[in-house]
Amino acid sequence: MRRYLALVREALSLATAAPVSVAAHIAGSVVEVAVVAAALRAMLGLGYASSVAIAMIVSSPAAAYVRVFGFPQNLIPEASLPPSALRRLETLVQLLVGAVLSPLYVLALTTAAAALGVAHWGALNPLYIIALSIPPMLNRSGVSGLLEYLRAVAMRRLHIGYQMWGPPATAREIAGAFFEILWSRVVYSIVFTVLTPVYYSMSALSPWLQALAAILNPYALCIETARSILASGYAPPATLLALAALSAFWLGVRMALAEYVWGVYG
Amino acid sequence: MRLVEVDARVEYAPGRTAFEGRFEAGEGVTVLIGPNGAGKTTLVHLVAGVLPLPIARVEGKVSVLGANPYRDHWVKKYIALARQNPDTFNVFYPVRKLLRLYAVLKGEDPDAVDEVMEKLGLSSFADPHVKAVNLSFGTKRKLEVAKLMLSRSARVLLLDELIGLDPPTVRLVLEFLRARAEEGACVVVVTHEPRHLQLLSGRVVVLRGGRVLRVVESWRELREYLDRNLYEVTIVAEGGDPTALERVEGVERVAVEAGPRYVVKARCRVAAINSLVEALMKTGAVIHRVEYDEISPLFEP
Repeated sequence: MRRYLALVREALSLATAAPVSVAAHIAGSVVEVAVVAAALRAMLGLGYASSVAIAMIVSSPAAAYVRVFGFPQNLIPEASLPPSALRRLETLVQLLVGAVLSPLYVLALTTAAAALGVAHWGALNPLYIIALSIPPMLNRSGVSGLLEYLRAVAMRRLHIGYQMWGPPATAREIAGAFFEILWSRVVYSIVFTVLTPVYYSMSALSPWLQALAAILNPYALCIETARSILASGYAPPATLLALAALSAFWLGVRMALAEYVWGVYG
Repeated sequence: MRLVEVDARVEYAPGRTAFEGRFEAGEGVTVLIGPNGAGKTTLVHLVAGVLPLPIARVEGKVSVLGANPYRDHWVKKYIALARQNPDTFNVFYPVRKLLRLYAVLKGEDPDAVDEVMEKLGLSSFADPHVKAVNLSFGTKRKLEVAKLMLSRSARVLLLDELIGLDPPTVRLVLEFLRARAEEGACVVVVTHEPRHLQLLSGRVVVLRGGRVLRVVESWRELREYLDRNLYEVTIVAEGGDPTALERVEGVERVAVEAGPRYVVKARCRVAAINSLVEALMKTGAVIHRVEYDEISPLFEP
């Protein structure tokens, strides 16, 4: 335990961002969100709150990792700890950094939006700030990690795809390349585009698709909750609970797959 | 006592074996030599337990201190590796903090970092604004050496090449390794430099084509082996009488390529090389250059 604490201490010292750098990132993000929201509103005719909500959610996870921590890849196999434990520790450090920085970031954005009259002042409620800032961070990499894991399992079972870097040379590698393209183009598109309520509200979907989007797409419920908070300054407790449960679920998936999924530097 | 035992086959692509066979190393120094692509780095990485298993297929047995480094992660505390390619340090982290992280990952004291950095002349890089990625290749290689020095509990030390290091650092590293070997550690060094073989004076394992070609147990045995071989020697000289060389004992063949500055190509035993040079100088020749490849006979089957 003492060893893990020492690791967290060293990792945090590597991950700590300079305050000026954090402020600069937040200022940059405010401008970014304003531009994206204006574009969404102009091009898609979305309401102010919807535009800001989507823009915030899209860039929020990035803000949580102003300076992302990752163990150097070569050091992981040299360490006298299991790689899976180090991956989990890596995620923990990222979450610790994000838990400090992400609410700051969302608070700054929401204040700016409220001052401009875009968002409801009720959105500045601390609970809502946490609901807007923490779940995108916890959901991060959960779904993509699971999809990567399933792809690797499928390729191993089908005996396709070996040394997939560079142009495929053998029939097995060609089959692997074809499978990869199919997987990344089709499955990823369904999850991250079709089931993302950027261009529509979830209520426009059938109950089955709503459930599928909420469970499979880590950002679907986040976007819906943010829309609701920014538009009316209120989110139903049941929605917040569902968001918390889903976030915990995807974080659990991410931790469970720690050994199989490369970190941010992978 | 065998600290390292390998009986395995490694391939990175189907049908392309990077290493195959048995390798054992105990206390003391073992030097790995062989031409490029002989499997030296693969063998060192195999022992260190750092081969990327989904990419490299490993069949057989790898044992370090009786444990499997791919399964028993605890044993990595007792293995230290200085990689040939210092990619580890191509990151935007401050140098000193990175080494501290390495020490903690190995279960070592991170406070030893300052002392090691000073010993290697790296103190000026301890400033938190100095990022590892911006360092030169040679300095990154020094950081790889720092990893060995920080691993105080290591019983198996693996150094993949001494390239990129300045002569004082090479001397320092070799002294450090010899001292660790005398304390009972198993030191494995990959090198292409014949003088390192002499300075380390340990067992020599010759690899070629991914296999162990021969094992020479001591520096004396290696010297005797090399002395039995015939070398192609090139001498670039000016003046004197090169035909005098045909009478030198131990010389099998002499060919002179004419010119005011002529080239003598001779085939002889290593002991005869000095005699060749002396004989030529006695005739009044000025010697510009003497070249021979001391190590290559070891790579011949």
